[in-house]
Amino acid sequence: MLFINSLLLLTISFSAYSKIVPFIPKYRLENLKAFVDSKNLYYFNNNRGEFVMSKGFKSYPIIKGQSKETQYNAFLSSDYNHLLVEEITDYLSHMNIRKMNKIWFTDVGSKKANFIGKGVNPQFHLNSTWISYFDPQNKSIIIINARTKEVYKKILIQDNRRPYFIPDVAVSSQLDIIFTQVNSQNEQEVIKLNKKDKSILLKGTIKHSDFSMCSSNGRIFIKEALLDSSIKKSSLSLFELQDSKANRIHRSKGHYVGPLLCLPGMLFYAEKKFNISKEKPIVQDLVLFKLKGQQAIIEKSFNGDISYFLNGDKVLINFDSKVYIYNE
Amino acid sequence: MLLKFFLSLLSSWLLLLGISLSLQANELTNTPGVLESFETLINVSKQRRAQIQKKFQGKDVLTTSKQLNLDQYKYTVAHSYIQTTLLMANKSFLSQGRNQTCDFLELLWFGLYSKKPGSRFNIPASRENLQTGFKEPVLVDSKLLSEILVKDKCPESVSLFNTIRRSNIESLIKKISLPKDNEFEVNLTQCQTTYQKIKKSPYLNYLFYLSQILNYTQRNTNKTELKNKERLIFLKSAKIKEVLTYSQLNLIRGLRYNFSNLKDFCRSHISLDIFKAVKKDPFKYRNLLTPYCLDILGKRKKLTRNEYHECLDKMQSNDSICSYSTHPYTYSHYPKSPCSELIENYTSSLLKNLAPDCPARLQNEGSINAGRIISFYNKDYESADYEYFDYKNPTKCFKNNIVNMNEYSKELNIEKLWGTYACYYNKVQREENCYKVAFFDDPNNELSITQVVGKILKESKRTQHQPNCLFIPERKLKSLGLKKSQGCHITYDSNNCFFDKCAIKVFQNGREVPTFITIKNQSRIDYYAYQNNSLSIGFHRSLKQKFKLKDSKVYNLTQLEEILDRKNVLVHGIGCAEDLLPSSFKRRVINQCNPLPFIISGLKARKNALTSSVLVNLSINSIIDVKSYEWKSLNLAVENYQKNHPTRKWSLYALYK
Repeated sequence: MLFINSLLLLTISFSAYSKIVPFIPKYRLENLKAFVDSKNLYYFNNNRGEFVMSKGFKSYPIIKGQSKETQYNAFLSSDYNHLLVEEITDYLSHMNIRKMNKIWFTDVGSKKANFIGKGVNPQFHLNSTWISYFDPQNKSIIIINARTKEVYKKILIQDNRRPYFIPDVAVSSQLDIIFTQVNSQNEQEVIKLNKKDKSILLKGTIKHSDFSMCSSNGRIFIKEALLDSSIKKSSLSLFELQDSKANRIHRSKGHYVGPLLCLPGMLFYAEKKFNISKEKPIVQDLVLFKLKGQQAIIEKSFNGDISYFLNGDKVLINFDSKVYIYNE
Repeated sequence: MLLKFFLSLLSSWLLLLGISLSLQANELTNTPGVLESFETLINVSKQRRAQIQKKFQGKDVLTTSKQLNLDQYKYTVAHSYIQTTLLMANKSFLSQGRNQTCDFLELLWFGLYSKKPGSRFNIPASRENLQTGFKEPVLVDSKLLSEILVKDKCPESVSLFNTIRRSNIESLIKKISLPKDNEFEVNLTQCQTTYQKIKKSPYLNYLFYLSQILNYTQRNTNKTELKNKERLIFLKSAKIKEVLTYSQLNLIRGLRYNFSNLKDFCRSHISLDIFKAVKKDPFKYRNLLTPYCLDILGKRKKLTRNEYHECLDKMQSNDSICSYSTHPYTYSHYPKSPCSELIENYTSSLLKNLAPDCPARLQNEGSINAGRIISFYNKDYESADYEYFDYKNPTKCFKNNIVNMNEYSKELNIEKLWGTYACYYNKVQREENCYKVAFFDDPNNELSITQVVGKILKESKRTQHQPNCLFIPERKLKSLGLKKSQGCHITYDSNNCFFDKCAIKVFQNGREVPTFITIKNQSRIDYYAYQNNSLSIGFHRSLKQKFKLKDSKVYNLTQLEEILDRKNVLVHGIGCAEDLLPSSFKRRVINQCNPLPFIISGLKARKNALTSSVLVNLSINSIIDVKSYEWKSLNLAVENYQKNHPTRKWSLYALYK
């Protein structure tokens, strides 16, 4: 088995030197929510339950918060111009995964924030011209015009069997809404919704597939992995505007985990490697997929679970209480 | 590099056999495999093997010692042939770390290089005339060849072969002294001992031979026409089954697949044994099995012993069948654990006395954990499990925890521990009246929505007497006839009704009563006394007070192991969902942490260096679905939550007597 694993490993190349270095923020890491280095701006959560912007030696509360226990998550747009903030009330005393958080919109550098709705997982789309979030109570995806703040669409997703399911959403340049949902057979599928109709863009290759999506320049990329980690089969697909179906651009015998991140010309995802007895994963690789040449490169192997996410257009990696940054 | 390593491994084997391996340089460079899959390598080996066989076609076949004429000839074996044989051998049979030459020859003698046990095949060899030095290719019977070679190098193998020749299966098995049925405890230490004992046994390769026989006959059960040799294998298999007990049979059968390392061996050994243990008394495990088995068998009634057995067989043959179960009593995070993990973890859990529950029907993970903990320490609860496991009514699947929580909050004066209220405006008193409520149906409980609505209907003078209301799904009311819709009905939307939050409609004699009841949810649990003032003692501290418990913070595995040995112990904590269930809750920004409370309900392999998995009941998994975590992962989830905590409070505590 070890031998087989080793051989499979060879089909992916390793990065010559690591571009992943420890991230040393200028502000205290624990409280940090987002940062714009070029403007010397740091967003953080203070111990009074406020969402604060710090610039130079001054700090400005952007969102006041209901009480000291209020917490925030901040989602920075890739152009570093806008911010979506999720305000979590009663963070300590009312723990609810399906809680309706307040979602705020603010321009980077501004001292004001506008309330736009209630839900979870807010995201920018199409160069921050559109916003989406998920309402876990009514199980609907809400699409908002970022300029007018008007609701463009509410999409109810079919899902009764997976109570904690959060769909992935992407928007194409022709305003097609692409999202994941669970169908009546309890299988995940990727749906394309436009003004005219609703169609299935991608179905799982085998039972119990799990999809993740991201978009770059109006192109939608979809990662398929399996919920069951004992079966190793994953793939990447691309959906282009002129196509009616998504086309698979890469297949793997690995087990992909985590979200799919889109950056110009490249994608990021993680791959879990299991030890011989398959009992516990021992390694998680952060993989860079170069769209030109369609080549998968292992950027770094970590000895355990990692999480990775974007701050603007920078990839940050969280591993073993430490944060790393990917510098191209 | 890898190929070189592999070849060097092969060479060392061959050198041990006394056969020199001289690979030509061009053979190395032309050898495929470096960038190809293992399957390709196997195919290449097969082709090479076929080529060699073709080369030796029509040569003399030597099958008796007389034909060999050892006084006149010396035999050497074509190394490429052995190379391919080794590559295709079962890895369980090869990794014994004993004298490899003798092991190899024993395996050859038992015919274990083929799926058909006892197979003999002709090995291409070179025969050298000792007087003239003339060499010629011949084919030699594998068993015969191994017998010649063991004589020189492996005295133990010689005596093993002699013993086997002289004895029957029955007497041989007695000599091996396999573990008895009562020694098959679900215990890793025991399993380790068994593994070592088997590994050191001089009869090891004989056991592999038996394993091969059992597996061969299992694979070919449906074969109708048997050749002579096959018939003999089936006869032997029947004899083995006659002599061995169920556990011993499973043990031997599994050797072929799992003996290459201790971990694999013990995993399958224990999990096989757990299925067996559960089968012995399925009713003892009914809390775990019933919701899954009702789903798997498609039944809606009390299950019989035979039905539990049928269900367990299905679970054993299809491990993922449990992961995708959709029974209301397992309404929780998706996917659930696979069957073997489910059963293995549950049998080691300290929370076995708790009835199955459906956490997804409650929108407050703090309440879920609190309800479970109170129920665990509530003595009355322990004996009664199955009675109120009313599988016909999914709205009751968390009821008892809620009832216990409500009693507890009254006794300790923690008002908002259960804080869902049904309120109406009392026109006489000119104020809003509120009653605590939970959305389940129980005519004997004050929290029940049917009781509360009945009371409000009477108080607000909408009815003269307190009516006996029924709590039914909205679609069901529509299907009731005129006669049956008389009286009080409270309807709910099945897709959007939780124990602590539910949109209801009230009907009197089939007509809807205009909305006058509002539902308010104000449940708050100050879990670890964040406020730290006299007004709030915190849920954790209240437990200490009520059940007279001691507590301590848990910072490492050693401490956890030590604490879990104490009386009435329960360890509870809060960690980030992004670390505990990363595939469902993806961290999308820095310092994102959705708090997820959990209970630690044991260790999977206590006091054993092999593994140190911690058994964890997450508040969004059913209590019967226990997950196992490496301490490292669990600790990270707690640490990340601590970082987000406004006062950086630690959140993993043990409670014990």
